Amino acid sequence: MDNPFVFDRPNNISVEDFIHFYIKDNIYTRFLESTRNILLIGVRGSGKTSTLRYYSFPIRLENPEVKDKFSIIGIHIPCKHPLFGKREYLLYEKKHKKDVVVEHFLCINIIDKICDTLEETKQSLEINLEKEKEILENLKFVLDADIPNNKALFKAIKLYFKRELNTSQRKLNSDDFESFIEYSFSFNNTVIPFLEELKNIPKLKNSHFSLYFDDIQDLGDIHREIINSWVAFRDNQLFSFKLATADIKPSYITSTGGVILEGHDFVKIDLTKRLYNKTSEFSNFAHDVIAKRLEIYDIHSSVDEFLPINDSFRQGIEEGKKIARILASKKYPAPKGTQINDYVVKYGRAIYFRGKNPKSNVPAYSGFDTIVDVSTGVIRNLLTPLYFMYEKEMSVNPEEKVKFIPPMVQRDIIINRSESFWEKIQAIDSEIENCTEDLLLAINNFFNQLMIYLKKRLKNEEISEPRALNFIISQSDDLYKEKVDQIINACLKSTLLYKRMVNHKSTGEKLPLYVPNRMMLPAHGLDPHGQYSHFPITYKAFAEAAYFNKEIPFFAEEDNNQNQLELIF
Amino acid sequence: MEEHNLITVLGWEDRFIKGIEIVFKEYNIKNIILILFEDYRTMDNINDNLIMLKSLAKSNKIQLNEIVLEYNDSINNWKILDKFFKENVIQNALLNLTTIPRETIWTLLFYLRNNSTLVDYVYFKPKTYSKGWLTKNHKEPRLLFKHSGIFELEKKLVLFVITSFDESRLKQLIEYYEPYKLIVFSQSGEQFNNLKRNKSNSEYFEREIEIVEMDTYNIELSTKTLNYYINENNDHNIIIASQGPKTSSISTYRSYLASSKRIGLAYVPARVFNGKYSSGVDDNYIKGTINLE
Repeated sequence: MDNPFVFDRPNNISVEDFIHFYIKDNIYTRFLESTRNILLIGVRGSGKTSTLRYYSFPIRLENPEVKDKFSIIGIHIPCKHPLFGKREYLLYEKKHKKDVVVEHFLCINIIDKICDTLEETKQSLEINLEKEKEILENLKFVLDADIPNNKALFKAIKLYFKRELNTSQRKLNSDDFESFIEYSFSFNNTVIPFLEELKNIPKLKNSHFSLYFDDIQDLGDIHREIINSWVAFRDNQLFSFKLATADIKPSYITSTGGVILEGHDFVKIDLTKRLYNKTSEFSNFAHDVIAKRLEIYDIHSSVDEFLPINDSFRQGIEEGKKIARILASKKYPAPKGTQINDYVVKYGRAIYFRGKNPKSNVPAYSGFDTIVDVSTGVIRNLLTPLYFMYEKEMSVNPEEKVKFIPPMVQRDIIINRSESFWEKIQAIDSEIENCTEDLLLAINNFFNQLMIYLKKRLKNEEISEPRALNFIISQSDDLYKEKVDQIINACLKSTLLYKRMVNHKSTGEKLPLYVPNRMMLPAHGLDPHGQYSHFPITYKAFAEAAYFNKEIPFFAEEDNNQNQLELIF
Repeated sequence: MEEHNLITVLGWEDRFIKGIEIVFKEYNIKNIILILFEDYRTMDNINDNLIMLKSLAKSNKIQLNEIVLEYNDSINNWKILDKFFKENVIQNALLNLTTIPRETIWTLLFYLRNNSTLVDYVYFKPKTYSKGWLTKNHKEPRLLFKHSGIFELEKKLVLFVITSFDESRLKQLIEYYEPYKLIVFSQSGEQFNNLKRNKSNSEYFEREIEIVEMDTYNIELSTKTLNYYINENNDHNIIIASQGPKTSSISTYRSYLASSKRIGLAYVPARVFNGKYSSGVDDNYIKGTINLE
């Protein structure tokens, strides 16, 4: 029996299954259905590919929610292909020649993906043979191309470009690679005329082509510069670009050395905003994802029935809340407003987790909320533990349908994934380019010290937010800034940390808030639920923790809510 | 005895200078083309090895030509070697594979093939490899210039990896290329405790994986094995990364030629090498002739 939580690449799923599985996130719709250029930023596993694919033409065509099927023709263009790993262009001395080669391959890829999309949906286009012939003849003339006559329109165009791709790769690998330059395709001389010609198809007469470039962080600098140059075309009547990247600092430089401007040339959408939402937006989304998968797989359990909480875990937390209530009554003999309840919310869980020893008395991490917590708001992080839980349960009873995941199986997998996460941190140099031994050690030291710090917070009975997990870096210091930034960037790239931009409520200052990947917490017996709060770590303390394995100083009195933050959308 | 042009890379290991002494005894060396990687120069013993090599060359009346490259500048290295081989016709080459990075072995074979389809080689195994790490701080994998294959857009990628003891390089290749399928060629036999070292390879990959045992020191046989798997996966794009013993670079190059240059050759450069990477030299060195037809 298949596992409902398999996290396959969205490109590998059929249109029918995709529509079944996909949970739409309405807040992006008006952007992704617009004719504007969009930059979609999201960490690995945050759902960029699914989002782009959802708006692609083959899915829209089959999606009953979409009324005007032909207004936007979304073309999904994955950029993860070995073709873009070719480096011969770097051997040219002149920059413009490098650009020519790179643009050539990008253009072939675009046309190939347009042909795939339109071939897949050809019936809906209702093109008659006469029209096909007319378009083919026009393209042959406009592109000066000997496109074969004996094939259907899109297959013929694909075949022509396949031959050209083959020839151009051979040219590039041969000695006379200078001859390549005279021969190449560009966006202006190939893609635009091709799109214009497609408008002769009656169904596409009023269509706008939306080119969805996926995973552009996998492309080289020159590739991205060229795509940025295309984004800089401000006439978006015929086409626009939707670019998805996991790059934490995408480059806005164009091939001519200019820059594209947010607001003018493109609109930025940040998928990582779920990571720090006070509202349960991600939790609702996660609930819908799991419920839908259970339904598709004919598992007649609610999400809470499928992921039951361990009794002792629930009782322990309830017990912690009771103790907190007693303490609050003593602290506030004449309570005002919500003082007692606020105290219970802040300290109840902390009291439970304080009493746990991660080695001998591991909390029985279980239940839907806990699984959402350890995901840190990343959909892949949600589905992966569920996948392993389901596999484990299925291995026990292979013949029977899994109706729920026993709490101890949930706990075992969460602890196991958390321990694996720490193994990943120990060998993180293999995931980060140019990671020196010093940097590897610094990253490990920092996270070990962060765990010690979080335990101290949890155990402290004075501070107002003992379960805060997110931090800002304060007191910028030239001496340490470069070193700390290097560690932070490496951690962001390898998803040990996530980042959100926040506003300092009192000063209005924009600053980054760092969210540790919560999968690291269960192995240390910490509470992954966290609090809507943060704490500051100074640059100096960060650097000393990382490079000298020094404890992160903890001053309860510094920890108050004067540094209220709010998310920037 | 036939005269040879020895092509070698200055190394810091014991086996470099011990190997050179054996080469001088066994071959009639007329000329040495010595490649010096500037960024290797900080390694212990490397300057001693250079002094000894120069002294040996002098006492044997062998001409020594130096080519200075930088391990971390693959673009310029290609240009320097391109210029060198355009200006110098090298025939009767003897490649000392022992200390040449795999990427440079492929580059040299590319240029040597212009003059001759037969290239002699020697390879000196160490007595032992380091028990700890061998290389660290790897850069992103890269396709070799002019050997980047002929890829088709609709085909999925199969990654061939001839494994080494460096598991992190394998992991990095998988993460970088995200192949549809992975075929791992691991060294057969138990030399250097291979089985224990290679045990955890498959843990990194959740998609289709095939593990093939292969004696990479047997170039003929390993070329045949690679060709078989290339044909089997003909309907895919193929990238091959050789990280096993240096002799596997020869098999991969021959398979690359046999595939009509359709497969891409990939390399994962390292920034940090263990100074105690290996010790001693095995008395049974490997030699032969590479047929580059």
